[in-house]
Amino acid sequence: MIVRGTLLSLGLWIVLLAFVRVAVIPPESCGIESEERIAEAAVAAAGWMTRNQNADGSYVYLYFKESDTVPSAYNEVRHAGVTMSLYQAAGRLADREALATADEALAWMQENLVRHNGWAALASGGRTDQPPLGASALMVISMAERRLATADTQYDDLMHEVGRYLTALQREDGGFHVAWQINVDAPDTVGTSRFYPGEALWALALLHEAFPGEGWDSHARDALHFVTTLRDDVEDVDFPPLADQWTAYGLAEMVEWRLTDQQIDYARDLAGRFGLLVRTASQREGSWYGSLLRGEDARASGVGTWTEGLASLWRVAAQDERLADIKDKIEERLHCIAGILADRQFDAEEAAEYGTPGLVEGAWFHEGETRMDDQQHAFSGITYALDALAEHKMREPEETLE
Amino acid sequence: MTEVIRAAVGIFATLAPLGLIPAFLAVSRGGTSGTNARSDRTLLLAVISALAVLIVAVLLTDPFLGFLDVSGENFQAGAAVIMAPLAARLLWSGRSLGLSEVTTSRPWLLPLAIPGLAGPASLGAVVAYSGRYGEADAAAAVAIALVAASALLYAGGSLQRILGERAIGVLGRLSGALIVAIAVELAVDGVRSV
Repeated sequence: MIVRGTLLSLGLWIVLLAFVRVAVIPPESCGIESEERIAEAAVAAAGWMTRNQNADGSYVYLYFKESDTVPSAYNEVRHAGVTMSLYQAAGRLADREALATADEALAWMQENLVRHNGWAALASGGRTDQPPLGASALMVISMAERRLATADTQYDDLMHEVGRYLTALQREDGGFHVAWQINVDAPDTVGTSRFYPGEALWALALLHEAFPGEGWDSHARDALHFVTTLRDDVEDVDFPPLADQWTAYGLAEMVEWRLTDQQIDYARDLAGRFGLLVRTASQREGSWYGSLLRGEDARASGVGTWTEGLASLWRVAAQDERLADIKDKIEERLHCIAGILADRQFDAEEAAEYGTPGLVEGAWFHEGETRMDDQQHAFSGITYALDALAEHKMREPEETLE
Repeated sequence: MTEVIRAAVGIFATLAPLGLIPAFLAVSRGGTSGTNARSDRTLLLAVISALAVLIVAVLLTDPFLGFLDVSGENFQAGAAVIMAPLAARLLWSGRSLGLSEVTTSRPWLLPLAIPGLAGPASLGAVVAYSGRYGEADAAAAVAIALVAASALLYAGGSLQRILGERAIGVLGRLSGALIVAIAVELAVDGVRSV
């Protein structure tokens, strides 16, 4: 009787442990381990962005590899984002081709500026009467990245001009209106955006870094206060904090300004959110049942943003003792997710099987399509992840391009 | 120090000494009368055996997680699920061992030490806390939790006499609720950690 009971109990435990293994803790796998090979993925991604620029300075926005087609859609926010990454490539990889390409893209942005009330804002297509905040914020960031990569100050006036659009949209609570309605000369007080505040926050922090003493820091501090206290409620985020890499970039920029305990707590929670996403992604990679239970792979633009966010928070942890306890763990996650990204990238051999190999090599595909920001976020994420693994605490390149 | 205490509370909860009191009394004295040399020896052997098993679990945490290819943070969610049967049993009956399970030749080992004290729930908790706070803190927490658990078991006879069997049963059920709380805390911390 006792033996039967023990066997039954043992059997039940085996069933439970098997369930836990399959449903709760599937194995994790991190793709490519070699940092050298991961770095090659960043170079290949920069190559894709450099190679696939149109004659007018815009980029190939979307590409379907099976049908070898390029739809005509475009988005100026993502244009500014890709340009930002190319300037990062110029600074980080001393990539002069990336610099030239990004300069062409910056010229495109200058041609699509709307000027009003002493500010300039980036808008294209049907949005010229309501320039979106995010596009202008990322344009400022692009120019700040260019300034860091080259030490060239020729766009300083433009940075100020576009920067003034950001402050014109800032509300009293530190948040932002999403656009200025030029036809009625008033901000859009209805629309909201989850990510624009983080983008504007980082842009304002970079403006202060470039032009200290001009008061940009006060706007950035107000923006950080809003993002870390109100944004997730305003945007009705189900599981706060929102996985927003722009806020992480902003926190990393402002860590030397001394963050409050509350902001450090927010940074810790944000690192946890990115860490969970990375662990879940690694469970998808680890086994067929992990892949089945954790759903389909996120597209590279998403995975790239987690990597960018964690890499930025690594900089916070490396410079602020209050987060020192999570620095090693962040490095572990960064190595893992950068390896996963590198593993999923299409290489030259795979690209050769398609109609236009130049649109496939160095790209990441999701359900047969790649969008330019897949390469943008994956590139930036991998690049700053490698910085973190090399203990490079400052975001600035060690040498500037002439 | 806070981490050691936090881990000790979690491990203590999964040892569930209040749910073990009836089984311990049945083994040591065959009843509920006062303490004697047999019960002291039984308790000592059971606690030492459980300590050995749990310390080995602490020391094997890293290779174990490596073998499973699982990060400590993800394991915490798994540990929480592993605690569920013990919590359910305590909530249902107030006991972590049935009296019919204690009729073995070495009851201090089977079932009092294993799985009474060092069972799947406490092993899961020990591995989870070892992954979270490190081996040294987890080992200290195991020692503290076992001392506290053995004190409760030692006083089990007196407690049962003073409070009565029904009250001990209620306390056993409450310890099931405590395990649920600890499991939720572990799982949430695992989800929120990097």
